[in-house]
Amino acid sequence: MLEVLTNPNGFFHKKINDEVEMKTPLMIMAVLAVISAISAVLVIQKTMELLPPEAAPFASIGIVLGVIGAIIGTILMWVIYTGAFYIISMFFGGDGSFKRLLEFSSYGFIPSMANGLLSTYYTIDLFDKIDFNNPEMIEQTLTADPSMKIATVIGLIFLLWSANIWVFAISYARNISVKNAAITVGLPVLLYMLYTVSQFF
Amino acid sequence: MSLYNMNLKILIVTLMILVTSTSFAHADTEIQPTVSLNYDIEPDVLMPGDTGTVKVTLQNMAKGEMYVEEDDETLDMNAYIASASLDGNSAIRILDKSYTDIGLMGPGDALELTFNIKARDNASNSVHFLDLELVGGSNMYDFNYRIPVKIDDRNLKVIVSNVPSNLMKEISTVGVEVVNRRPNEATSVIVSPSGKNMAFSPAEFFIGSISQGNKSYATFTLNTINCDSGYQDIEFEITYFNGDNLHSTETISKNVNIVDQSPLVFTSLETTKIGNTYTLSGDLNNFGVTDAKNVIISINEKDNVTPVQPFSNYFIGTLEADDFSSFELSAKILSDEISSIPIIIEFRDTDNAYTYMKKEISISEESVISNPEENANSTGSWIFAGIIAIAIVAVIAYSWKKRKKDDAQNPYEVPEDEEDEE
Repeated sequence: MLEVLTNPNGFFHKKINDEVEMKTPLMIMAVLAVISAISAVLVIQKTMELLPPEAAPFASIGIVLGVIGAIIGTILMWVIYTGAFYIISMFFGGDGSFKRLLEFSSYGFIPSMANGLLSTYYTIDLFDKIDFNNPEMIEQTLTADPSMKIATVIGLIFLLWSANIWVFAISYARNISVKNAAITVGLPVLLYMLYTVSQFF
Repeated sequence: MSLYNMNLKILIVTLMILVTSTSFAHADTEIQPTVSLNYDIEPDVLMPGDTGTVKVTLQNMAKGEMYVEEDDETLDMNAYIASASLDGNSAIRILDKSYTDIGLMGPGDALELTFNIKARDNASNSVHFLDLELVGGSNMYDFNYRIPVKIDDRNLKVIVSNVPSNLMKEISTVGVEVVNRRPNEATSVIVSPSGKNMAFSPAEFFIGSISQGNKSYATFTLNTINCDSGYQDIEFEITYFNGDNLHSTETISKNVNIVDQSPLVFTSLETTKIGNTYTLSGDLNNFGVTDAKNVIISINEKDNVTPVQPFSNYFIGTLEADDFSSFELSAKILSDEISSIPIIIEFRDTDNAYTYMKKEISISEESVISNPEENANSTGSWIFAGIIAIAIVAVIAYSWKKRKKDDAQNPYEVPEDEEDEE
């Protein structure tokens, strides 16, 4: 399966001849959801440490909500990305099924696992520097601290890796040229990258 | 001792007033009551425009019984005073002119007659005589006497004896001498200093009485911390009483140069940065001439500058003149636009008055020692990000190269537009 990271063209070339198989994609997204959930739990725990003792009972509620939110968010992200690719590829005459695209696009989230782990590390590191007693300054601290910038840059690099996988995934799943697949992927990815860059730089 | 310098001037005049017609003596003996006259002027020396009093005291100097038997005759020893009046002149006005129908004074009795007087505004410096006229006795004889009243317009004078020509923005001690050039005592002398943005402690100095020809000192603690730099005037004014008359001197000014230099100076400053937290350490030196008590140095919180415990402030205690103390402070900076950290130094001056100074410590890149560990962490993170970026770009490039190679060996049926492109 790791071939998808280094040779997505060859991986999907073989995979397109197989029946649609959702077991592996679900596992990939489950792992990603777990990483997101762990990240959410750590962030919530850090936040709760700063709250008064009276708020302690709400910590468990917050953690549960955080885990549910991380799982739902991961699933939604998968469906929304796939939906966007599906709709845009329609303009290029894409004819593959949504289910096939859902299967193939899930492999593009593998780099996001590493990105999720790194982001969690940097977020926890940043939380130690934030003065939560001064809410007005939180955003300024987030933008001023270099660790957040590094995490953002790394996130964008991993997104490029994901985009590379999605290009071949869409090309095979929707049976369109690599060039059209690159445009299909490039549009939302480029918009997201521009938005991220405008926020931090 | 001069006649005019005595507080109680006594001129004893022996008056021989025949009291009654029956007091005629026997052929060999005359029995006569004797009346003495004293006077007292308050204040001793008037200034033009002053009011004062002339108090005339009459006393029947006879002793013993009111009636004396002599050669089968009864002699009356009472003294009869019909009237007393005081006349003014071109320099002095008499406000209460005369007493009439005063009556009898028994042996040993005394009588005080007080006249209010006022020196005219244009009265010259001189001794002016007031005419006192007494009428009494059985024959209603007149007695005239001239009472000398001195007028002198000399004022008190301030001599600025201990005010330096150059002052820092500091707490210092200044002093003036108050000289009484008058020929009589000045009472309730108060010195009032003033100056733009200057604070004096005490605000006014009460000296009390200064006798003739003497001087007294007034010292003040002067705070010029909030003064503008450059030449400023320090002014001194004196108020005092001559008798019951309030007087003030002309304002005396002393021009001093306020130098833009604080008495509390930072040296050996080191600024260390860890993340967005800055740690300031160094020495605080007392460059002034007075001790600073209860000194506490703190981060002066403002937008995007937050003090960080445990060194949000640092207590030094008493910082004597010509001494120094180390300190350490921490602050979190939450904006790139902050170029200096505001510091407030609070202390009490020699009079225990609360005082403060505000200063700034630069945190520009040149003056900050970045934490090596922090730098290493930050650099390491960026290197790590760079390696990941290169690795990912390499993987992406490899994937495209591999695709090209695979397509050459095992062509995949690609859509038409790609074929056209190739």
